[in-house]
Amino acid sequence: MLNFLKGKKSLISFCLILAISSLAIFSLGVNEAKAVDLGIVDGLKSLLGGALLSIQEIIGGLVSWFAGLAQGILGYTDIKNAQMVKDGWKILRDLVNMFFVLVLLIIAFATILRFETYGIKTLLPKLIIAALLINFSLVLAGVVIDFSGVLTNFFIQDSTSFFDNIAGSMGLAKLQLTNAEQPSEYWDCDDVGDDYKYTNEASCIASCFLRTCSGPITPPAFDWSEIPGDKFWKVAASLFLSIIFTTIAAFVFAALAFLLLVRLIVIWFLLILAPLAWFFWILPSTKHLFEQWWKAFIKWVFFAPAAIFFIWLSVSSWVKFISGAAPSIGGEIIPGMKEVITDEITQAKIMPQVMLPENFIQFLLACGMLIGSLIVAQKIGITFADSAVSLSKKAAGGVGKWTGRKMLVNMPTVEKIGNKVRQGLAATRLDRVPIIKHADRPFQAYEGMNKANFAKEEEKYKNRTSDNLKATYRTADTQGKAAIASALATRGDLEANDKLGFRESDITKSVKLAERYGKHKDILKARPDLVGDDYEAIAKIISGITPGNLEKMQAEALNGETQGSKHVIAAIKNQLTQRTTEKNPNHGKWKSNHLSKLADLNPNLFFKIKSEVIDKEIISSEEQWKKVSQERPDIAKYLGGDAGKAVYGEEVWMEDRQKKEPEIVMNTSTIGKGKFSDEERAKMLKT
Amino acid sequence: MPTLAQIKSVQGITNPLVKQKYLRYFQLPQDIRQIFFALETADQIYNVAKRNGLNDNQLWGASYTAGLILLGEINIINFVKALQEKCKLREEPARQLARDINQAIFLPVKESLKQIHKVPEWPREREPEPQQTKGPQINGNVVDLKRE
Repeated sequence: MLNFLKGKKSLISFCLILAISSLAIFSLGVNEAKAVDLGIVDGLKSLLGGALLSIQEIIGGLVSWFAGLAQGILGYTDIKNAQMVKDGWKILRDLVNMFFVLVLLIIAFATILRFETYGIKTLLPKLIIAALLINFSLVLAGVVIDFSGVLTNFFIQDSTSFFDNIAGSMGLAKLQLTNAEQPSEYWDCDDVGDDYKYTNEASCIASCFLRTCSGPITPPAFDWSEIPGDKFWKVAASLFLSIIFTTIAAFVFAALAFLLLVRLIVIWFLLILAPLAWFFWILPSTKHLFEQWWKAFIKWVFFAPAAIFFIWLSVSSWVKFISGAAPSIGGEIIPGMKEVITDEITQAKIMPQVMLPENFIQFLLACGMLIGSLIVAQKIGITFADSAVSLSKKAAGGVGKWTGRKMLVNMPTVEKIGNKVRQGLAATRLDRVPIIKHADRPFQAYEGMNKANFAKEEEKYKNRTSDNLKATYRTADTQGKAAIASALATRGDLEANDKLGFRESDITKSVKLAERYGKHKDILKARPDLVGDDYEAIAKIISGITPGNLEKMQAEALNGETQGSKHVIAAIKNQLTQRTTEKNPNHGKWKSNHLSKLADLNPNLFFKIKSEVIDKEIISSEEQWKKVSQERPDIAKYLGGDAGKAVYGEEVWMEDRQKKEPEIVMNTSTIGKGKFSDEERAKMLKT
Repeated sequence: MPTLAQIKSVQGITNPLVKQKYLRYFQLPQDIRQIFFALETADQIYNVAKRNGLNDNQLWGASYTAGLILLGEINIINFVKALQEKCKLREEPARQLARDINQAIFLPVKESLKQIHKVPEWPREREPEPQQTKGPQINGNVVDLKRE
């Protein structure tokens, strides 16, 4: 840049001198200038004015050229049938069709390895859909493009001359200087009052057959020196402004033409890449590439209608404004301009008419609105693309869920078949044969996928409150209901709440629903009575409950109304009073720790167990107590020595026993001494 | 105040006295709540009772009374008297039992118990120092025969 400036030093100096001297001459005023006028002023005037006029004419020409270009590109609507697109798309489609085998292999391996994201359940429906879409991708994309075309045409009444009309409404025709429009020579009827100019002699003679046709006349070159000095700088300034605004108009039309051209090319490339994009949609790791494609496609396809809509809006409002249908805004903004550009100057035909006050404001508004339209159109295109991507994601999710649900309805059957295969293999000893022993693998994999899907649903409900879950239970789908019940069971909140519409019958049903996803065990740990009339199964569940898990068990399981709850009471009794034997492996598994945790964490259930089991079966009589002390000394020790009985009460048994006279008040060996000595106490503490 | 979850957890209890006691339990300081239902506490009471030669009835009575002390239902001042009543003991064995329970269970949480029972000092908070048998003071005016 500096080097460039160094080389042009003389030019810069000349320009500076010219500018400063011009300013000096103009600012000195007319009289002073005249005094020193030696022809230099007139020369400078012509030079400056001529330069400004030429620039104005060039830019004016550019504007109409760009408007024409934009019009031309907009008129090109048959995008999808371009030869390049047709050939490119076809080759890529054939190539991608070969890749399906590869994807099938990936799915097969993933299913065997139980890699659920790539498993058969997740990818097979997508693979089938993609196989169809890839072969119809051009048609489908064509539908989207045609749709945008319909939208575009909706705003354009005459699509063949849309931009020409805009240019007209903007007053761009007026940008051309009136004298520039004039031919270099013309013929004229020599009749006063008729100033029509004919471009050739024949038409002139034909039109002025009653009069004389004079010509050819060369229009006189405009003489800048004729303009008085005080007006000249005002005219020059106006011309300068006009150049600026014409440049803006040129930029707007150039940008429009450029963006429409880019749109065309980008859409071509996207159409060619469409089969590959849909192929990328299948695999989770390449899905983002499809999303990128889709986003770009939507953005560029809908750029045209968005841009055209705002341009149409701008134009229609100007037309109303110009025709007086809309109130004139800012009509009084530029009264000063009126003084500068008088009729005299416009009559002199050196001033673009756009600089007339009434044209000027219209022109400014038009430029502003066009630039705004471009920005808004770009934004709308992007927003449209974003929302289209999120919409497609949701739709894809919906399709996945639907197919998933359809498959899941048969899930218990699949699981049963898997179990049957497993049992069959075991029965026939075929499970030892290397390959055949894996025959139940697909079923196992299917179960695995099912659970993975369920885990997603569980994740959804994880952070909600229990009351919220209960309230939404009725409206949830099958998987959701199972997930809610499972979540409530895990929290230890699986209680019916009629106010929230979560009834006892719902809890009962939820066991069956959760069974489909292998999650019924959580619910059954909370409500073992729901197993039904099967003591062994209930005893097994209850024996497997850890002290920490007791918090989750519901007191309703011990209500004693159903056969199941009766079994639960019996099972708990056997846990606390029996020893684990070979005959009864599920008895006697509860330790004193169960009771201590239960009393602290789940008072409700503990009270129920106390009233139903401890009071009735352990401490109801001395014989039973002795029996329990023999069988389960740890339980007896805890129940005998627990300070917590101050809270949950144990007077029932005490009262019974207090009826009798206390047998031994104190151990005779200690009574004799009456009191422990400090040494004895210390000794005892050590032992 | 007990939390909503705690209130909810005792809702199914039908006996109002038990419910009330549970609500009181939930308001206890954390250290007391920790020892309340703990296996160690039960073991300690059991061991103390066996050491004091209590029978099953008396063991139950002692545990119950200890629980009521922890809960603040019986004031520590009345501990021996309550043990006498519940365990049908005479005063001296009851006092010994009280000392042992105090040593084993109450002293580790004495600070919290002092607040509940509103007493400035907990019984046996400071263990009496064993008396040292002191030899005769040898002053300058007494002849030390051993040295001579």
